Amino acid sequence: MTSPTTQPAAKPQSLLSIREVVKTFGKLAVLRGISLHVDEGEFLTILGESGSGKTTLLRLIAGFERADSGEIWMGGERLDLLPPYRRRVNTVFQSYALFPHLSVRDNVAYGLRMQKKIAAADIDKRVEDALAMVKMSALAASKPAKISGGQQQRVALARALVNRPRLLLLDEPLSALDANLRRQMQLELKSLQREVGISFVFVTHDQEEAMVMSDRIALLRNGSLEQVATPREIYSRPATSYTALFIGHTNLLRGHVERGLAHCGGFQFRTSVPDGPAVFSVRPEHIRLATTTVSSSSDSVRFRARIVAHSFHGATDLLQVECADGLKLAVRVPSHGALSEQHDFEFSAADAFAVRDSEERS
Amino acid sequence: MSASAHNPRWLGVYALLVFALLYLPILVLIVYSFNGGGVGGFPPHNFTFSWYRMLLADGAMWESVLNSLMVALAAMAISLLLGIPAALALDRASFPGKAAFRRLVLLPLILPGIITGLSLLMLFVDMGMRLSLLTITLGHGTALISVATTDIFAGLQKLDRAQEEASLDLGANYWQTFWRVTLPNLRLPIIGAALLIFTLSMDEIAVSFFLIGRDNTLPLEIWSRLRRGMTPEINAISTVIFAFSLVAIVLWYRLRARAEGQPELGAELVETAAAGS
Repeated sequence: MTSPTTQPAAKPQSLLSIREVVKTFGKLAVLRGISLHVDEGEFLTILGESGSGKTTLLRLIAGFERADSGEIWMGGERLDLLPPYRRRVNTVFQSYALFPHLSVRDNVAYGLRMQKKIAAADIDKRVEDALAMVKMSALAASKPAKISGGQQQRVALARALVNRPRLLLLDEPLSALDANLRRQMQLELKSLQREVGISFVFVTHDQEEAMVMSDRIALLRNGSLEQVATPREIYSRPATSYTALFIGHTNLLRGHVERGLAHCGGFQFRTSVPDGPAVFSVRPEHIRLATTTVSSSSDSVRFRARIVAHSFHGATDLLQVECADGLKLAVRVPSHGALSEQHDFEFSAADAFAVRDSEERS
Repeated sequence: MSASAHNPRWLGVYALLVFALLYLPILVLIVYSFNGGGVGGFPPHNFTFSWYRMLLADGAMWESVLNSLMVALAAMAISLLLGIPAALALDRASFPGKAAFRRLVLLPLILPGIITGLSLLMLFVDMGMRLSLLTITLGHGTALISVATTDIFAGLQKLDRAQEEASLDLGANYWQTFWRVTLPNLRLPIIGAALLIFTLSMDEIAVSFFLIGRDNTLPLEIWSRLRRGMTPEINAISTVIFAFSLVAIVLWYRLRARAEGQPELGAELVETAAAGS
């Protein structure tokens, strides 16, 4: 199996292809022309704030909503023309949506029983296997109301996967779980996905969750895709200021470029960005406490600032610092004892990453 | 516990009085059904089952009971068969006049029975139908559609629509989804509506009065006998009805308690154990 960081030799087969999909509810434009593809065996996360349209996009793939225009293809077939019950796509719902009148076992068997060609013995076998996979065999006879939220989540997952869909859709399935269980489930889901080899499209508003689990992240904002990239790329090479702010923390430096020299407030540094107004993202962990009296290298940007807040986060400390011109920056440094009020800081010009300015949200 | 400003004793006494006001007349009715001295005289004396024996042998009375049961069951079927689709339409479909329909559907329940009865009588007469148990059944059935519709509509509103989507998602078509997910989830509202319709039909008098043919329903039989004077046999049949109602209510509450049962204690423990393994 190839790890997600290395480039696979052959281009992976595209499984799902979303083309120019537009969806409005009344006068509200929810999706404004989305084009996106999901590869065979890929874990793709649709990340976005509430109201960004991510759940609507998922519901379009599942077939619960109809697009105003655009097409969705899966394996050479127009998926968006099929009713939901004819799509080889299964969904794990945010509320789990288990059938309360059926036992855990019957919930999991539901999809298989709807297919006429499967023998009863095969159904039983596959249901038992699916329950074992999510460690729910012991509670197979229970009703959903009698099991905990985390258990319901596992059952919902088994109920969807037992049908061996080509694509599994997950609508914020972990949002109802508490933090510890959630972190555990993130890892379990990811390893399960590798195991079964089914493509997952996972919807979440939690950027950390997206980073941990995904092969690629599609960042959705106001019904448009802001950026689609691997977690590493989207973090280290954010396309826009919105992406830089949404994925992790960052400092945005606004200014302009003149003959290869960026001027942002009190900072000046070399850049390859063409002349004109520019926005740079500098991650808090890329700013360090200056230890020597002179700049450590020629491209480092050095400044003096006042520490206005200092919080302890275990391995690192997060500082809020204020420069002479009033600009406030976040700085992440390895855990440190008390610091003097004024300090020298520096960052490399190479770490000031130019981003496209996302228009201000109304 | 001592009486305090937050727990005034008089409020408890007051509640008991209200309870007595509600149930004392029924208690009196029951006691006198066993009274050898008939309906008159206080205190009751000479405990006897003779009124019940008389009731058992009373063919006309049992015929009216049978008539009422048939009418009530048929009315229940009519109102549910028409009320369930109406409730589904109110919940899901959008059609012109929906808001008005939602309000008007309750009207037959609020209108005085005299008006409903009179209007149905005029309708049946205009249609040239002979008055009989059938006209009563149709009258009850149509008037009680409102009960079925409102009860089941309320149940539909509480239904998690994601469940139906999950069913479609798992390969069930719309019809299979209705039978396997929607209807089982409406079990309680449907049973509740059925019981309510049954009891309302069983003791309905105003509408029945206008639509009655030759065969009496139980309330009309009792009413017509009362005009000839009160006998403890009526107390006896009333006591029997009361006992049946009581059993029905207890069954209904047990059913509902079981359906809305609390999650089993220990589910959390198993979860913790599974997380640890």
